Amino acid sequence: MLHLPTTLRLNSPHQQSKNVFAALVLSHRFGYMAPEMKHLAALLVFLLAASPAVAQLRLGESGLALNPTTTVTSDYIFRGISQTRSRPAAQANVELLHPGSGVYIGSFVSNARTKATTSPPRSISSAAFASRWAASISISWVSGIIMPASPGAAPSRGWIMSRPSCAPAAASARSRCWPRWVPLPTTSPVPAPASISRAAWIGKPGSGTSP
Amino acid sequence: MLERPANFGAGNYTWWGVNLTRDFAIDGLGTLTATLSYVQTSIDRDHCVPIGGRGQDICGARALGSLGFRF
Repeated sequence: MLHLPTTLRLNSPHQQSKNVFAALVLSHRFGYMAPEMKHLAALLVFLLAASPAVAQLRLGESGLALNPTTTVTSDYIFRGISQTRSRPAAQANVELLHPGSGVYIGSFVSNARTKATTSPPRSISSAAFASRWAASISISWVSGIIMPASPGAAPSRGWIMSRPSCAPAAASARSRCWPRWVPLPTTSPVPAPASISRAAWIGKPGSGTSP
Repeated sequence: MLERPANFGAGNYTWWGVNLTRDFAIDGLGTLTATLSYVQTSIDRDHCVPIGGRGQDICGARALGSLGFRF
């Protein structure tokens, strides 16, 4: 699968300090978050308030740099589809990059919410990625593989995370997947699934490095 | 969640979006990035990641805002 996301970026030469604005927005979003989300948001506020005064964390003489990013968004969109059912998401992204060559590798984590998950109605989506950085290119492409995994109970029938090779509905094929996906009857109460999805892909940024 | 992760169980589709992003440098701390986005897909509601034959309301056009902080 080949994706061709294009990003139109409008840069302003003016730089302003908006620290107070950030605090207000984060506080506003607290009222719409589940208790667990409040903890994540509180962590973001703590990071905003107490982070060290560095723009990019240089790792000694290795020539590598660590580039952490935290994000609060009103919706988690992945390839045009909401992963939080139009609800807010707290996300964190960490990149380990080599500024000289532009090569970087990173990891992304976000809360997610699906209809199949009931109580608690959420899951955590995480992803690891590797890419070559090309900041001067505004048209980018992303392609790769996705390997979802759920260590807990599976969501309701018809919404089973699976590896791409396990997509066929044949029971024999599904039984070979890891982890083992056992669909639950939709009429029965579903225990907390605590789904975790993992993804890895290779590409060039331009529309953002998060999935 | 996903029967076919690559397509979200929705078959082939097209999605597009427009992002307006502005960075605010905070001296000694990092960069705050504010983004407004509009995203839409070619998936109609009936074919939007259906559960039990019924589509969901997660594929339609939507606007979102995000606030990121790069340390």
